[in-house]
Amino acid sequence: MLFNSLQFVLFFIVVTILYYTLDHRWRWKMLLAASCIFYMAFIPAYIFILFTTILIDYFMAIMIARSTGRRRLIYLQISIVSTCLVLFIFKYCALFGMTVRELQALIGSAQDFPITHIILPIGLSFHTFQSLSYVIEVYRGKQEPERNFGIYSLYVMFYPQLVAGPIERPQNLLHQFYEEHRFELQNLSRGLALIAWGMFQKMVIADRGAVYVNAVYSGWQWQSGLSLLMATLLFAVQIYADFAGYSSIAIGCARVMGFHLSANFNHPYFSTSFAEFWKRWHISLSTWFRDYVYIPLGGNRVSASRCYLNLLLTFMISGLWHGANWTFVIWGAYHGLLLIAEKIFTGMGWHYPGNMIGRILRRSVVLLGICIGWVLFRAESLHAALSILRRIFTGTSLSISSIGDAISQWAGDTSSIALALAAILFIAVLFGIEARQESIAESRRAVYYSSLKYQFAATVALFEAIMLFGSLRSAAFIYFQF
Amino acid sequence: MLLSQAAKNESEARQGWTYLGKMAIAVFAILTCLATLKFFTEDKFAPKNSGLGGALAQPRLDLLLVGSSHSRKSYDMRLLEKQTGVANSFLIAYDGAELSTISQMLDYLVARPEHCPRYLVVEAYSSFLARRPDLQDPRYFADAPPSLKLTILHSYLAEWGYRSALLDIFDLVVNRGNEEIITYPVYAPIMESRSYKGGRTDFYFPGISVSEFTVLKAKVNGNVPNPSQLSAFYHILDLARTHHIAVIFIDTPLPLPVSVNPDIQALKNDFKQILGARHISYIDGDQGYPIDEPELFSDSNHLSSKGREEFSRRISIVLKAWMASEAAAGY
Repeated sequence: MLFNSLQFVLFFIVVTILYYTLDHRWRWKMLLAASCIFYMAFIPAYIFILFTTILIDYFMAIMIARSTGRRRLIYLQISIVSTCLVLFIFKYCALFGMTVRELQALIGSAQDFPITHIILPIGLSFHTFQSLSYVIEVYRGKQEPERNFGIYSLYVMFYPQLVAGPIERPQNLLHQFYEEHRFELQNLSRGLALIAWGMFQKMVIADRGAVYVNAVYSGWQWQSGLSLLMATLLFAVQIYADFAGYSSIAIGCARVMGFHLSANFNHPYFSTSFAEFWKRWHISLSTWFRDYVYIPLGGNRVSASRCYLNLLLTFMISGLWHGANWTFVIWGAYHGLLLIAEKIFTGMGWHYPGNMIGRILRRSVVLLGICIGWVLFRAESLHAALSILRRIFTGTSLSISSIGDAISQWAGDTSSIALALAAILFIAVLFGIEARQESIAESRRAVYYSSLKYQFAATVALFEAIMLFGSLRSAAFIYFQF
Repeated sequence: MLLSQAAKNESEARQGWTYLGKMAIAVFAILTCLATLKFFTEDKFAPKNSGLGGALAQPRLDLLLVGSSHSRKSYDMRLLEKQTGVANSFLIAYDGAELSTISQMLDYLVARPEHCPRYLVVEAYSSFLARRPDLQDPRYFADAPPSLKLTILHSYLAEWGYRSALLDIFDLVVNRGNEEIITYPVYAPIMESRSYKGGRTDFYFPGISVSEFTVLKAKVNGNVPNPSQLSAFYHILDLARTHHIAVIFIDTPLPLPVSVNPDIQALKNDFKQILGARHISYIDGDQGYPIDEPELFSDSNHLSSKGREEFSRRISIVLKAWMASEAAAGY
């Protein structure tokens, strides 16, 4: 059940009406049932996998709270190992098998290691991380274990953020299920505006770009440098609009029912450094890795070389989290190296000029670095990624015929021109709005956000744009595969 | 206290429903206005030297070619005009335009004497004969004047039924073609500069490699002619007869691995038999054309730029001779 489908719209309306109609003590039960239905709409049997991890983490958290000394750590380890095992079996088994097979081929072994391909349960990486976050927080004593199994299950399964986050901390979400949310017009209005904005990003921008990106990247061998460059730039926009769009819809759906989920994106392409980019991109995951991997490894309170190693390791694990392919690990390592390089240069006292040229230069360098990373992320193999990069840097021609050829990849004919122009226009609208939001003070932004008239007008305008320019055939969100 | 809280809740809920109602009305009203405006004015944004809009902008045509993307990628209109000596010619081509679409277009054109052509070249792409009528290219709907738009919608609903066609129709009427409208000031001049009498100029389609060529497969929908396509076929023949239009059917060349497909051959035979029975000319583009040369094709069913030039040169001679014989016969 995709957020951008008619099926979901009906589901959301029914669940929201039921939520406000029911007495408070029945609400969480209804939400849990609705979340189960939502999850089972993908592959019904996989609910048992989800249920298993919920069960283990629920009991382990209680055991941790009841125990003292070493036993607490053992329970934590059982929880982490079992949750990661589920992740390994369903997500990384095939990668493991293929890697072993390649190693066998390398050493000339005649044996073929069996490769098991299992369909990945949707959003597995998200809800396992949310579950882990809860157990670790209980272990650290920052969160009381949840005694109500149903409420805990709902914390992991809450349907707006079940399949692609934001990855919520227990301190932010669990208590909200106990609070009685009265209907508030402000929540409805703000929630609908967020849903409309998310759908606009997904259906008008991401899905529009996807047509070009998929066409070019699926046959990259026959594409010119310019086509590959355009596809890479569009992919940078596509993946952002796709994922930020999903997050916005998730936050909006929860908001209509009075729940407050964490923000996941904060205009990442306006970052002036790679470190800032990761504070603005997929915030719930970045902070997860910071709190549960980077800091436990020693963070930056160790020697410089150890700090760099910590960064590299954290980003490599983060890359692996994104997908079961070594290209994702390399993508993670690449970002780790960018951050290390940035730290080294900053430590050496290197700075960009403080004027406008310096600011433009900073943003351009960050954008360039991130886009190179997206090639690694999007390409099917390292060989493909390197070939694409080589072709972009050495074979990009800006002649009229090259531009015409690159644009025609959109639809194969003259409508490509209109599609390309429209895509540029909508991307300009997206980043124009973000630039405006960046430039105005938080307090003034809050005034806009709390104005019902402003929200009403914005929501209506966005829904019109979706109807007129959106891709009405539902396409899955990119991050669903993670 | 409790009572006042309940009253407050009730009032908020009422406000919520009012807010939703107002939003639904606003979205629906604005969308209806925009869609209606688009329906009646969209054809004004149609390119003036390509597509249906382009054909309607011409004075009465001597030679009209109608077909799908195969025709667009097979005819070099400048070359054709030069070789045949016909100055007043035009090509209408929309992706996936099969006989049923062509028949709708011709119905509209011949009903207006100022748009009724003397000579008509209809694309006879064999595979389309077996395909259920569909609307692949939304530009056709966008370029169509309102009365033709209604015909298109009516035929589409009749073919596919309300249940499965409603979303498509919403898509077509509301959602498609808006890019061309909002980018019109930039898009239209580019289009005009890259089109010539319905054909494309400056678009380069490279040939494929030998390895790609050998694995080409036919895109077929079986070998049984679709009843709606057949009826459209007969309708085109009747139209030509009643309006005294000389008509020829041309199947543009297909690459050898595709051409030898038995379904394609069977459908070509159907074309030959029907047209032969009515003494109407049919040209199989594969005959005499080097269909075994990969560089002349850009994919499994379209010619490359080089292939188009080659085909246009060859077909010009055929068309010139055909027009002369038809003229002698009194057309």
